[in-house]
Order: sequence, then structure tokens, then C-alpha cells
Amino acid sequence: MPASPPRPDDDDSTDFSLRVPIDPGSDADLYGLPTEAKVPAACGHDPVERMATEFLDALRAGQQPDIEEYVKQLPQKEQEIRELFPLIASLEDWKHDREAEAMARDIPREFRIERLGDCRILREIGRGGMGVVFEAEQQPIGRRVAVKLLPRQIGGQTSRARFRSEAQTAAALKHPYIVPIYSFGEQDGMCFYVMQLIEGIGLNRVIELFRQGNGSLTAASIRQQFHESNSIDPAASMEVQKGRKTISTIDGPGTSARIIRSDAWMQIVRIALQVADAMRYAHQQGVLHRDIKPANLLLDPNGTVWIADFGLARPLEEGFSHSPRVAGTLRYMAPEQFSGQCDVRSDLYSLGATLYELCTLRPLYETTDRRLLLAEIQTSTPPSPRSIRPSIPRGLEVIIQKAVSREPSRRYQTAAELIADLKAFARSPRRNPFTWLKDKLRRRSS
Amino acid sequence: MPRGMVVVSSGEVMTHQPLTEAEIDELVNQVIRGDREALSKLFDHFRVRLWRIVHFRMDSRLAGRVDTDDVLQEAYLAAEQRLKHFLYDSPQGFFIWMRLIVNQTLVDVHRRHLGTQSRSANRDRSLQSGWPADSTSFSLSFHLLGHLTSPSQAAMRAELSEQLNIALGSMGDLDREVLALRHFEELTNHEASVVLGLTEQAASARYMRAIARLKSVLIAIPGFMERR
Repeated sequence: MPASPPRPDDDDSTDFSLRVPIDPGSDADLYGLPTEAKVPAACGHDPVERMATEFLDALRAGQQPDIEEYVKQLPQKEQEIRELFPLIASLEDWKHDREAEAMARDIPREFRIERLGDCRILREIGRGGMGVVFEAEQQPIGRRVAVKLLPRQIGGQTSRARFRSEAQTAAALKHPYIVPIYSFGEQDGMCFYVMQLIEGIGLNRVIELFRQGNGSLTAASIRQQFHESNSIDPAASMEVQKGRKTISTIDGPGTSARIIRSDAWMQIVRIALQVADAMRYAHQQGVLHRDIKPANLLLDPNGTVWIADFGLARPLEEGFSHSPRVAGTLRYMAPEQFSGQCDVRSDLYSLGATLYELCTLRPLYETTDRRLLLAEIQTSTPPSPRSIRPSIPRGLEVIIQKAVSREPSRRYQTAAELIADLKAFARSPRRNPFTWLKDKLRRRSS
Repeated sequence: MPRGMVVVSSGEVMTHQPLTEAEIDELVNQVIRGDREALSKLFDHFRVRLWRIVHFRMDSRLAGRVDTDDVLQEAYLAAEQRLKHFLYDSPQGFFIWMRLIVNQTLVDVHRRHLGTQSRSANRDRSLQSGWPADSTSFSLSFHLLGHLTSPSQAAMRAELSEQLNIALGSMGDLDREVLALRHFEELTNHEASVVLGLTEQAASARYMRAIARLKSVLIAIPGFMERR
């Protein structure tokens, strides 16, 4: 689009202290401004300041810079570095906490949105760093759908472009265990997309319920959990109540069937197989999830697991803070993702970390401190699953441990490999895992 | 698999890589020629950084009353209006110019909401950053206390806040300003030197001095550094 010439307007409502007379006849063809990059960076700077800047840049990129490294580079300034760098790190932490808090606050507690596109909004069913999800009715055809909204408060045009492009990515995926996307829309500067409504709950909720002592979940209890999730509009929730009655009458005798039990390893393996199958398909399509975690895996009343947010994986927090330092998302990230690398094996790691938690009911790394969490993911070895819950079968433990190896080359290299092991385990769960692993090696070498 | 590999159903491939230096230069050139679309792209590119400035500088009394987003929106409109003055306002660069406009907008917002109680109203603007020294001091104090959130800490807050204000007051204006710019606004040394009218060398030395000074005042407040 050609630029329209700027209109002179001197009735600026803002008063600028710096006023320079404008020469109206000036039509000089100025090209560019001096940029700092062209000046040899940091010449004549205080050498400690140069180190401090590097240190700050690393912190802001979400890395774990080691103060010792800086001491080594500038031994004559050791005392100053040791004294000041920890304060610099603390300042960054404090700032980050404040900013994260403010961003969460910027998203309204309640949305007074009645319609998005052709959807009538019924209630909010969840929110995350990525946006807010509503249950809605797509009116022309009267079907229940889920609508995910990117609130205006999050990011700018770039975020919207990304949200749109990622919705397109996800829409291209057609798989029985991936939540299908129907359409994308924009309204009043907000983007949203419409997808199939899964009347299920995230595995994070499943884990939470197991942790609270619920030994098993039935179709009815999953449905109930779904409907009780966070409703905002009393009228809408009444309607949902009505809807629920209808559902339970169709539900019939199957309702009480257990969908999942916290110690039913075969059910957990079945979940893992479903997710791995969807991942294999997506990976074949060239799409990584990048943010597999319990909250993105929805268990429905039929016991089917659905992967949500496929292709939407680059969390929008990144747009906020220029760094992936948000604990909720960090916990399931593979160590190499912190240095910006992500491939099929990183997704499989995240699935492994999810399975670890589903089996042990404890996260792979427990700390809630962001900085410690980053360090633990990169350096410490989590306890073996059976040391937490001895009833976990050896075979399953071996699979999980392989999936979460810190070194990508020691993990499952493809979803198909993971599926093969899960199936081998499912065929003979009591067998010593090393026997079937050996079998496999034998088959491979012969 | 390459990192950016995505399959897009409509065939429309959208790149969402951040702008490169060259792209920024090109957009700045377009802005100089009065291109509003280029302005919007650049504004978007720097949005997070500008958001951070508003977040840091906004008076805590305005929390809940003024939306950071609205301030940015207002600043954007002001930038559009002042587009043709860009080079005259701020030949040092686009980001410095946007920062100037955002700060000016925020000063207006403060005046509008707080009137004469506004710390930025009717004061000498002694510092190049555009903010009076005590305003920066309040912002620093507020944000430095941000990490004390547990209930027992909250009880200590008022008292600590008092001590922190006194401690920050004992630092030089320029020291506080350079801390605010380098840490809370995340300006580079170069940008901070432009804003403060110092050479880069002086700005870098000033920053290290200020950090050391901050350390000594924080340590003097009983328990502040350990309270995490």
C-alpha cells in the first residue's frame, strides 16, 4: 500500500518538550539513521559492564549463565563479579515476577463477549498463557463447539499473525486423537478459532484428582468435571445443566464404567499409545507440537485422549518476555528447548515427562522456582518412577526413563519407536523388559 | 526436521520470525517517508519493550484504573500524528523516539488521572529520561519490593518500603536513572547513553557504579536481600 503523505497537524494533544521548527519545504531524501550495530560494540566500556551485559542477555534469553565462567574470563575483577552478578540476577527475577503478574492481570477476569463470529458464547471453560477457551454454540447449525480467543491484551499484530498461522497449521491435521479446528475469525481486533468441543478434562486435572485420593475416574465423573469447570454466566450454566441431563439419559448403563484408574497401567499405556500415534502422524506432516504437557491432553468420557493446541505450540509468553521463562510450560520442556532447539525427540521427551507424572503422580522435576527448575531440567536426574511407586511395572518404567533421557540421542528417535515399545510392553506386561528389549535388538541385528 | 517447518493448509505461508536488523532499517526508512504501515510494523516489533516501560513507569496508584494496553494505543496514535516530526524529535533512532512518545503519553495519563498529585506534574524535568527523579525513585522502590509476596513478607512490606525509599533516596539521581533504564526498561548501554546524554563509556561506568551502590543500600536494609 503506498504511504499517504503525512498531514501537517500541529494541534498535537501531547506536549513534547522537544520542539524543533519544521521546514515545510524540506524534501531531502534521507536514507537511514546511524545505528548502534555499526559502531564497534562496547569499545572503551567498563570491562565488567561488558560481562554484566552478556550475563543479562543470557538471563533474558532464559539461559542459566554460570557466574564462574565470567570470573574465569576476567579474573582480575573476580571480587566485583562475585559481588554484583548475583544482585543482577535477583533484579531480573524480581522484574520478571512483577511482569508476569501484570500480564496475567491485563487479561480481564471476565469476558463480556456474547458472540464471536457465528458462535454464541456460553461460558469460559479454561485459560492458559495462550488464550481463553469458551464453550459456545455455533448457531446456524446448532452444534456445541469450543472457541479459543486470543485476547486483545496479548501481544500485537505479530502475535495475531502467529495465532492465525498456527490455527492454519492445526487445521491441516486430521487425526482421530487431535482436536479438529473448524474455522478461524477476527472480531474487534481479537482473533479466535472454532474447534470441536471435547467434553473432557486435561490430564493435569486427572493427575490432580488422583493425587487427592480419587482412585478412579468414570465417564460420569469426567463429564461432571467438565461441566463444573469455571462457568461465568449463570444463565449459560443453567443451560449447560439442562444439557447435562440430556447427556446422562443417553449415557445409559455405561456411565459407571471406569475410564481410568490411577494404578491401571494398561489404561495409561493406552493413553500413551493414542498420544504417540497422533504425534507420529503430525511429525510425518512436518508439524511439531512443542508444548506437550498434561494440560494439553484431554481425556473424554469415552476414554479417548485428544491433543489440543497442536501447532500452536510456540507459547505466546515468548512474545511477552522474549524468553520461555514461564514455569507452567517449562516443566515438560526438553533441556535442548532452552537453547532454542526442538525436534521430534523434544516432543517425545515431553510425552515421557507427562507419563512420568501420570504414573508417579509427581512431576519429573518438582521445584516451583523457575531458576531452579531450569537448572534441574538441565543437570539433575529425577528419581526412578518405581522408587516413588513400586507398583509401576518395570517395563513401563524403562520406557518412561528412555523417553526422558536428557541426551536426545538416547531417547526414542521417532514416535514409531515409542509405539513399538509400548505395544511390546502391552503384549506381555509382566515380562522382564530387558528380555523384550533384547528380543528387539536381536530382531534388528538379524 | 528444520525448526520452522510447518504445513499450512491454504498455501499461504506466513513467516513469524522477528524482524532482522536490515528489515528494521528498511522500515525506519519508510517511516521517515511517512509510511504509516511501516510505523505500525515497527511499533509491533518494539511493543514488548514499550509495554515494559509503561509497566515500570506507571504509578502504582493507577493499577486497575489504567490499562497498559490503552496507554500503548494512545502512544501509537500520538506517534502517527508526530510521524513527520520523527527525525527532528529523535535523530538517534526509532526506538528512542517511540520511547519518548510513550513516556510523554504516560505523563499525560498521570496528569489526567492524578492531577496535581501526579509526581510528574508541574515539576522540573531535570533528567533527560523525561521523568523527575522522585518518580523514578518511587517506581524503583515499588518494583524492587515486588518479590515480597508471601503473607509474612507482606506484613513487612510497609516498613521495608519506607526503608527502601530512604535508601534509594541516598543514591544519586543519575545512578537511579541508569538502573531504571538498564534493568527495568531493558535499554542497552548505547540506548541508555543516548537517553542520558552521556558517552557510552561514561554510561557503562555509571551503570556498574550504580549497581554497586544499590547493593550497598540493599544490604544495609536488614533482611532485604535474604527475603526471597
